[in-house]
Amino acid sequence: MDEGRRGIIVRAVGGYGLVRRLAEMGLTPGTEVKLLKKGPFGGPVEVEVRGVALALGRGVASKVLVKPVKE
Amino acid sequence: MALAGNANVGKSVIFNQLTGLNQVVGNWPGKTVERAEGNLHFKGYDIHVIDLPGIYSLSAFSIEEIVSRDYIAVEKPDVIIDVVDASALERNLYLTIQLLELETPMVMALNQMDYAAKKGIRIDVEKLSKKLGIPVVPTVAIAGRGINELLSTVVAVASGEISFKPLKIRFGAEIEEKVQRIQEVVEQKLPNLCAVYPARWIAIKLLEKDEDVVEKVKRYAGGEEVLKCAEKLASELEKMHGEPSPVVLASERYSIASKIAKEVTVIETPPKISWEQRLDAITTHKILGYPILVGVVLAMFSLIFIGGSFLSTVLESLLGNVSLHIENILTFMPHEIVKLIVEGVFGGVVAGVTIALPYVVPFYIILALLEDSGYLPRAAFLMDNLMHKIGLHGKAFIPLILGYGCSVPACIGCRIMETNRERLIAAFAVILIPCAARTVVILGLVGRYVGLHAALALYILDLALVFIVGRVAFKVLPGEPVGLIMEVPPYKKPALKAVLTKTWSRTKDFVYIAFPIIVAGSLAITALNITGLMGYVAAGIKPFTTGWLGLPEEAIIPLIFGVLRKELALILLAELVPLETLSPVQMITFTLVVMVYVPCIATVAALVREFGWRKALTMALVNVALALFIGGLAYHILSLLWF
Repeated sequence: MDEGRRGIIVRAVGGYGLVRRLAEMGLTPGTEVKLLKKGPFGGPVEVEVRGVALALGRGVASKVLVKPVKE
Repeated sequence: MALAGNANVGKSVIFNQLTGLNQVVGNWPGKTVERAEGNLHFKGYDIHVIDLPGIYSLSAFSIEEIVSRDYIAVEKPDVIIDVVDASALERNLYLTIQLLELETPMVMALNQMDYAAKKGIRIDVEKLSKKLGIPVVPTVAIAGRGINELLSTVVAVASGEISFKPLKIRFGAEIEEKVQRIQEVVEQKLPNLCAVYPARWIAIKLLEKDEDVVEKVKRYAGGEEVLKCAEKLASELEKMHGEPSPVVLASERYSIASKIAKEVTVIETPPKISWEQRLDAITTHKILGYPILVGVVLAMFSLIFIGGSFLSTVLESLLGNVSLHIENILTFMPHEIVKLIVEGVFGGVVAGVTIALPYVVPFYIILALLEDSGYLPRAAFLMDNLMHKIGLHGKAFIPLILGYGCSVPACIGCRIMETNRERLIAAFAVILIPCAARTVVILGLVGRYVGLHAALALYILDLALVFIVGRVAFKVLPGEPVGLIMEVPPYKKPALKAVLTKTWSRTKDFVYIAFPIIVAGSLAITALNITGLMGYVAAGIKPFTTGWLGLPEEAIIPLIFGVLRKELALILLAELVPLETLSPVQMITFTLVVMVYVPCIATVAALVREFGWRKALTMALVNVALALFIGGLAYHILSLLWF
């Protein structure tokens, strides 16, 4: 996904603890997220979810499956 | 009463407004979590306030969350103030809902109303209060607005003047049915646990498979039966939704939060780009971000170390005179006792005042500034990728950089990591980074007598060590590694008062913990020296010193004294052995040992303060072993190569 694009979370895959923590930070299935920024050198990404900016490590972010919203 | 809320919502600002300087900062018993409490008088009431750590949830993910919910459930504060960021209502309500599950009287402080207004968000306060069934007080804590109303409301709630009916959170039918079934079993089988935690809450947590609650339930007779029932229902729920049960419940809570937030918020025209957003764009820019980061780090360094060494020199000369005076006053006493008092006790105090304090205080000020302004998460954002190489994530960058100046603030800085595991890995790495004092030894001995290239090689070797130790600690320490999931709060102007109060309280706490340890250590080493035991020690480990490390017998003494302060090791070595008589290999070996072995006593004190005795001593011993091993190895390998 490109910077500035929006998407709907399909689901998060990966470890039990990670999926759970993501859900608690508001990244639950069906939630709309906006990709604000991609960090340099394969660094973290910054997303907006429920009105809050969150930084997710690339490894973490790659486990969140998102369906882009057509604009 | 207790303050609860997400991180970055202005909770500590409200706390400072309430208590002023009348506060104590410490740790929660046995935990590396800051605990701030204070007292205030209001309308004839003496109110004890406790500032719970900033959290997003009440699950068992982090130590902060467990500390908070146990405090609320066990200590049962009269009132909880739920501090909420009005500009991110939905996310904040997630915690509010969980606080409601704990069934404690609650007042909401709807904070940062000004910032929300700037973002074009308007909240119907009365409607929100009605929806949640709790009083809601709008505040702008930074400006002190709404604090008095908040206190009046809290007092009115605590004294029963206003009664209200907090919203009973009800989940969707299929979840609700399961919660109630577990609740019935819990009430029947675990009456004792229900006296502490609400039965419904236990039921919800069991359905979520909360590790901490599961452990608690196991300890009771009949607990197994309850767990079996909960597990069955949880797996039914998971089958139905195709997701882990905690995710199902989190989604459920968020949909409640989202519904309430939508009903009470009006979003007006999106605002124009503010200076905060522009600053954010520049400081996390792909290219520009890095020079700015370097600039901030350099500025931080110079402030801490120029300011620190200035303060240190001033204090040292002041205290030097005092020590002469004490010696003169005490001449009537036996010489040994005078030495013990002056060098041992007073010397320890001097070491604390001149090494630790001058660096710790500026560090605390800058840490508070970085925390309150919101730069810290942005630095972490930029460094995340690099830090992953040593098994940590972006946030660890801050303590590591600080380590080059002084290990003491760096060790304390490790608490910005979320979990104990991450804190320990960071601390292990931090104490291996050569601090300013070790730099003195590296440059003063190897740099001067062997050559700068050798000194540089030592630095590189040290970085490699940090990398290896980081990786080993990453593998050895139990627990799940945590990727970066971090809120990036908007930039804010830090409030001077909040920064200074934070600094003052933290410094006070540091002095209480660290000084006794420093003085005791100093006293012990002086006693060893006066009684002549030091000579025996040196003679006793002579085979090791000369055989394995290849150093002159006396060289062990400066190494022992180096525990007090590391640059002392070089000064003493020069007194005992003419430096020119040492071979380059011996110099390198000596410096290597100084670089790696047990951190100075002030650092050990900081480690004890952060991690407790057991872990601090383990770390120190691991380092000594590592230093002696590497030192010896270097001696033998280099001797083969050199000659």
